[in-house]
Amino acid sequence: MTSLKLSFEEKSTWASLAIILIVFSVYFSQVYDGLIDGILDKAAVTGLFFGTVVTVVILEIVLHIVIAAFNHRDADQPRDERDRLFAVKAGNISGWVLGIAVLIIAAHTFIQDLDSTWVANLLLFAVFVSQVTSYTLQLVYYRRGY
Amino acid sequence: MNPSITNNVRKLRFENGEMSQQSLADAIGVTRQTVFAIEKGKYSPSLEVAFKIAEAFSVSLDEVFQYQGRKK
Repeated sequence: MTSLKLSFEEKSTWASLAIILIVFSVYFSQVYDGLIDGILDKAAVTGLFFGTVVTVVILEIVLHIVIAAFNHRDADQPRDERDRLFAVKAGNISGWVLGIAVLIIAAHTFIQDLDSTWVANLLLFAVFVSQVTSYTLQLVYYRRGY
Repeated sequence: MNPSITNNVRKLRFENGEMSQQSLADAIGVTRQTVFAIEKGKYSPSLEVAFKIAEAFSVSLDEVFQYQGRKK
């Protein structure tokens, strides 16, 4: 057999990317609208955040169980050197993305004297963008080679 | 992707009783998808894995991988 079926790691990366893109897009959309309209206070945002994290964890567990059930042989294998290399290369670039975003947020906070709820969510957004970058780059490396 | 390194992994599998990608992957400790990527020139393995591939086929390293020099 010479076809390229996706490895467990690649399927896992696709699943994680889809989950955080969907769930956190909903979260950021709700928080942004809520804070702009003044209908969300700090406690409501905190509740929304923990609800989002729990949703992500549950979806990650369920999707990974489903992926493993359809290909338990691959799921039993540890990450190999290619998986680790792609994760490190992607992590290196996404680390830069996070660092630059944090610097921009820090400058913005200093200049505009932002409320702590805004700062926390801007930092969370930076982590989100960094993680999406990492997953996306890993998938590019899996598809195009490195 | 490293086009300056070519390999004979596919040919060696054929010459070794059409060894499957999975069998080779199990022998060298990587996933089948990594063997596929190596064969297609989409991934250059570490020296350790390169030696393991040569060992799996009982040939020398340069019978498996060839360095084509810098691309001009």
